[in-house]
Amino acid sequence: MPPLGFTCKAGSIDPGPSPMKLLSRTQYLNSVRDLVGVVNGLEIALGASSNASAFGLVQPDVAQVDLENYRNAATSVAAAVVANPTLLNQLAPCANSTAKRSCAEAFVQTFAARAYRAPVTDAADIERHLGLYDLGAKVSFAHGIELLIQGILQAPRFLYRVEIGSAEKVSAAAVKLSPYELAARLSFTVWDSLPDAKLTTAATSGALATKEGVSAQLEWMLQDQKGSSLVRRFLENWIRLPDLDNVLKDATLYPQWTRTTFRASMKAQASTFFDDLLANQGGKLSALLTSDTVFVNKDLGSYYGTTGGDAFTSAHGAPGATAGILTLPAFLTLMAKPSESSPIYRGKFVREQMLCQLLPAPPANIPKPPEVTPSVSTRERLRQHEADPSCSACHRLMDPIGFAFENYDALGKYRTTDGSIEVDTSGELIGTGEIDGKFTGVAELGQKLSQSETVRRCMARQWFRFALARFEQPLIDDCSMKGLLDAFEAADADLNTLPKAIVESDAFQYRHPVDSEASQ
Amino acid sequence: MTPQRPMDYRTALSRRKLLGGLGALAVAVTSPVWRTATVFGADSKAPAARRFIGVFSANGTIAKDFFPQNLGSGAPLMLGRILAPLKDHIDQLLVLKGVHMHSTVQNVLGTDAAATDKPGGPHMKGPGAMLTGGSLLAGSFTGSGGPAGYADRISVDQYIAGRIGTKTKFPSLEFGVKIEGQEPLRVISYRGANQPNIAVDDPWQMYTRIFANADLSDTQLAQLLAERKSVLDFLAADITTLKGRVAAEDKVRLDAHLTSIRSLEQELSQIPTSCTPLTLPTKVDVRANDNFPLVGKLNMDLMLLAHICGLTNVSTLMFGNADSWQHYPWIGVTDEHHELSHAGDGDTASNEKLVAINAWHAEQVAYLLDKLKGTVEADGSNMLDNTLLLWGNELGAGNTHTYKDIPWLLAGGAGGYFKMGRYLQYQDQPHNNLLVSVCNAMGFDDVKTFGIPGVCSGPLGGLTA
Repeated sequence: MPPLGFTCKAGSIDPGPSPMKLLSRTQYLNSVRDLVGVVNGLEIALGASSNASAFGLVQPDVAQVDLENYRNAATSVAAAVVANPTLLNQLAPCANSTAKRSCAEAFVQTFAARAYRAPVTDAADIERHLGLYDLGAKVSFAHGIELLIQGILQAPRFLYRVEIGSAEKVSAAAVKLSPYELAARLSFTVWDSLPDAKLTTAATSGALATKEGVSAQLEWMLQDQKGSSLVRRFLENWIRLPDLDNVLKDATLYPQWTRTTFRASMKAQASTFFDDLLANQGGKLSALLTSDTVFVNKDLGSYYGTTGGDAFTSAHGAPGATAGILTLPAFLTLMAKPSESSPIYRGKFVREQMLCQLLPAPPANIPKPPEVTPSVSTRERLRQHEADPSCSACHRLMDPIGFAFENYDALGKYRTTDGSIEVDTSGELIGTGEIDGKFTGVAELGQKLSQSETVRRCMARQWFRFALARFEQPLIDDCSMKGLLDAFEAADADLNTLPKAIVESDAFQYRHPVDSEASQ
Repeated sequence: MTPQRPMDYRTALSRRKLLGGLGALAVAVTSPVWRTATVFGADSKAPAARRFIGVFSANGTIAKDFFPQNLGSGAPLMLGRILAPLKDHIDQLLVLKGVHMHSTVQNVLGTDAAATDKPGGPHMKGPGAMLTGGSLLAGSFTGSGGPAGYADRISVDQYIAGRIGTKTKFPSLEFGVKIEGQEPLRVISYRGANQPNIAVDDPWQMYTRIFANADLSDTQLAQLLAERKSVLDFLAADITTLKGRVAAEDKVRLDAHLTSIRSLEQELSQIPTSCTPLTLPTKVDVRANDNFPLVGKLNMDLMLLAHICGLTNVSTLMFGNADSWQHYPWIGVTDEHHELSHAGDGDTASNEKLVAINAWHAEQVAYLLDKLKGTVEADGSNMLDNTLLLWGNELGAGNTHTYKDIPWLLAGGAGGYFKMGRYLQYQDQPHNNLLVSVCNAMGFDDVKTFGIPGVCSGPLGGLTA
């Protein structure tokens, strides 16, 4: 279990590690969109996505097949650009009177600079790019540009978020980032894409030289349409909402699950709830865990004993049966089995993702599970976990929390019976410190969690991981974590304060000097 | 099955230029019937290449129907119900019992397995260890136990590819059928620590990778090759320049990137070979449950053709990800595999279904062996004689999640290195030893250990001819 507090010695600045990151699939697609506009067929050319781990925390090295995918994608982008004379002329204008090669040079200085998120000024670098142009120009100017686009979109400076830092030291362990690197951190964190012209101009003008300057940019970036969904995306990724499309359910028990529109509604309901929570309900963590606001449309009307229209409308859920994120059908569906609820998955999520307490992996040689008989409730079947000491060590940390959710079936719909047996939602929290104790039902669980300092601290950790796409390092990141947590606590755990708090942290503002890492 | 005589269809094959990743594939009109073929791309005077194929299926086996009963170790093989579909190849099979995946739970043989707390649940640990003899790194993948990362070292197929795969268009190819779930469940092939080769489970995508051909003229083809080569040169130079500026840990990643660039160069530098691409049917949803047999068949055909055409000598095929949630309605099993695999030993009905599932997988392996046997190498031998196929699983049994008694099957002639056609029963041998033997059989006598050294004690005894 992580240490309870953060030890931050005043004045010690250590930004922690900042390894180079490969663009996520979303970042790749958004970046291409922002560079050249929509390219039909790009997603197919890019091949099957390799779903990253939660928040992209694990990044494997690229394989041959990945590079083939990047090549195919770059080829189709380049072909789409040159097939569209207007677009080509817009990206690589070339008046008849101008020498073609100098037009290509100007293209490298503009297009590659946008793609690489940094000015391209080095003469040798430009010349190396023009080598590609020269080969293609044997056919035509357009083909020269086509090869350049192919090359630029496969270059590591495009595919990875490369950072080197500036020469300006702020401590023995930290240097300032270059303004362009800082702009890229902002844009990939807030927009999931590369900087736009306005942000690049701010970088060039020196507006990012101070923390205040950076925060000022953040402010308008969050207002921008691309940035308005930032905290919502965090919450969505936290509960793994993007995976909802791949969830399997028993088609006999849940025929509605075979309908794409139903699954889409459930997903949209979660997003709508998050948006509303952040914009209209004050954005507090407590509201996330206790809100009785629900969103209803025609697919989900039956969940709340009503019909619903095509669009979502807000309503108040039944007292005791509604607890914000904890009773979101999407969340409960993700944390369930194909044909039954899963107190284990639900309890595990609370334990690991809300309390940030890691559970050990199950032992390699587990005892044979009890035979499944239909007349026994899910809760009853998990009794074995209490009886067997090799199970109970871990399961007592999960199952008694998960039992509180037993009012919700495998699609997150309210029920009072499990099969023929009346649902028992009494549960217990242990090992949490301040909120330990028995309780009944998910609404009481939400109340307890909303009062927990452990949960607030855990949310700050989760946000750190999401925003920086890396795990916090004990001690090293403590000052960043402490600043983040203090700001969050000071705002009464308002989730909307998280973006500014992370952007102002040492972990976001600085990096280790490259030479110090190289010499390690 | 009536014995098939190797036939030479060389003259019947039309000439196609093969160049990975080129444009749309040409639609052929013949039916996708597999034909016995002759290996191309090899010098007929050169000795036949040795080939390695790794096969994975999920969720453990039913031991009493996989392993021969009442048969002493070393005895001529008899097949239980699960392996019965392989009867035509019984002389070229070895069934191994008592070979455990210690590396999933130990770093040193004989230590308390329960005391070593390695990352990942049992279904995750298995695929990461099966061909690596290693274990999973720490990480943030959850689901099916966890958290865990990818495996911590190179797998045996990639080790082999590093030594025999440098002259083929692809050092190796990784196929899969309906590969889903968290990443460590999806991978058996690793180039190194945190370097997964995630299986491609879309035959149409794989076709484009390996057989996409262009109806390009020689001039057009030459131009395209030159351009691709130039782009790769540009990228390699770019990486080299960049490497001089970044932090040490980033250099390592750029080096890995560069290595994959070199593989693309290798792909381009191979002279396009004549071969008949497979004709794929109309695209289907490759992840749909009922398309599992079709996608499996297409991937097997593509894999075989890639070997036959000399495009690779090393491949792996995963039937489902580890922890597979596949249903098998075409053999009357409508239950979900993983759920079923938890049934107790006394649950006869469920166990019968698990036998049926595993026997169906044996049928697929039989298909591979049939086709390999029906293929003539350039020197006149058949391809199966020169192939070593290893079929494994992430667990011994689903209902105990045991790493012990993995259902290992070795198949093929392996160039005559192993004495095939037998059943071998070991006392508690680590599978790392099996991986050493696999390397030895592929001709690498210098390999004395594989995977985590503490759980390897040299080659597995009693295998060799």
